[in-house]
Amino acid sequence: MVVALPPPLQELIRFLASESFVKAAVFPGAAFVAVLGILSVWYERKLLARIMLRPGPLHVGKYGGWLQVIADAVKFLSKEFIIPTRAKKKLFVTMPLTALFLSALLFAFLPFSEYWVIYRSEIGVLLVFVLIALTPIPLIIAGWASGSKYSFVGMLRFAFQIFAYEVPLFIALAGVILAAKSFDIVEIVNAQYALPFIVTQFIGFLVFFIAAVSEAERIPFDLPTAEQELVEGWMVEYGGVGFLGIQLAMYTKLDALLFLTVNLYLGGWHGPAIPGVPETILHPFWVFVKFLILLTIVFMFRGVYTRITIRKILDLGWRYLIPLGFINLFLVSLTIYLPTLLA
Amino acid sequence: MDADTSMADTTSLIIYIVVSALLPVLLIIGSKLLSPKKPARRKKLSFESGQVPFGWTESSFPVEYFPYAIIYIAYAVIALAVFLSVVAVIDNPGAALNVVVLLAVLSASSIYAAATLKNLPQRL
Repeated sequence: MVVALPPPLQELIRFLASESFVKAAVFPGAAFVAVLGILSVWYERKLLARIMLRPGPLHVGKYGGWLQVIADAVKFLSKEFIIPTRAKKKLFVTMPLTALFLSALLFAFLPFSEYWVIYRSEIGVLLVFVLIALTPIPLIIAGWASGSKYSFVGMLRFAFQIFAYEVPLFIALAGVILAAKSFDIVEIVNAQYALPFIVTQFIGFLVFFIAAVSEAERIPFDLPTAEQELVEGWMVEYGGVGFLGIQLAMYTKLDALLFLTVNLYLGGWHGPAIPGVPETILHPFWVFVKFLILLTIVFMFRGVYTRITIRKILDLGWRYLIPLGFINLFLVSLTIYLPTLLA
Repeated sequence: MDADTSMADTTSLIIYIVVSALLPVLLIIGSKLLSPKKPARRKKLSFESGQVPFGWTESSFPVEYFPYAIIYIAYAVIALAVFLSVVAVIDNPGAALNVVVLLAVLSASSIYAAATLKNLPQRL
């Protein structure tokens, strides 16, 4: 005997099974972003441990200590969130969580195939860039609102670093838009069907990738949070849920920047066909494989590089990456429009 | 993109924004439920490497890397101009020559600026 469900329940099931809900809440939406954050932290710990000839997380969780990350999250949630006397309370509490929200929002416009994208926009690449430019602002305010000298110095370094690397990021991005003749990320990926832009714009790729690593404040560009001298810099006063929010925001932003690099320079979902695997699975698979390669490179930087001084960070941004970005753009304009001009 | 796909995309975006906004709220609720609340004066002191914090002073803060801060203003405007040129050339390929010349001048001038920046005093 089949029991008919009440109509509101049927509506709810229909909504939960709808394409819109699956994309927003499961893949490539919230659940995927959350799992990706956990996976990234676990992968970084295991990879660094291998580089340092130690096992890394082992005991919590049967397979490679994977539950350690969850245990850490619970630990942060169960710690008291202390707000220092000198801190600006409202800003101190809200800014890390705002940063987390903005970082997560980046994934709304990042495609994993022509089908797997939460919101495909004709100006997708611009929206992503606006969000990339916005995410450091709550973190800078968080450092300022902490009311500590250490946070203040870290925040100043962070602001200088972000200013230095946003311009080259933007210039490199202009090269990709010029070559693809579109602002739609899906069309930019499709323009790389025959040849990914990493081949035709290798200088642009280097500029973008280095700027992206700096934007994510990863070693060797982690001077604003320098553990050994500024004891976490602009986030020194944060503990408990505030620190958890900042860490989640930073890892989510790093993941989003690397997925963006895959789409802009590594040909996105274009890759060899695997017999029997449908495109709806194969396309996200190739995006993920390319992302993992970039993630491994970024995490290996932490294992093999030392921190560089603020002077060198600024020098690299202003004196090398910006001219290289312009040269890349000039070469792109020449290669694309020279045949037209000659004709 | 047809109207149905566009509508589905917009619904996905709205759901995603709501879920993303809920995540920080859930973290705060989780923290409220799990964390202890035992306020103490010492806990609320700022971190100063184990020393008793001595508070803020009204001394001037030295501004370092000043030329870099100044050049940001110039480059931010230039980046915008370059970006608009790129947009213009997508719509009007006939303007390609102008853009190529602009980018050549910008490349040369940025190399000159890079060489000059190093010799400028970095502290005021």
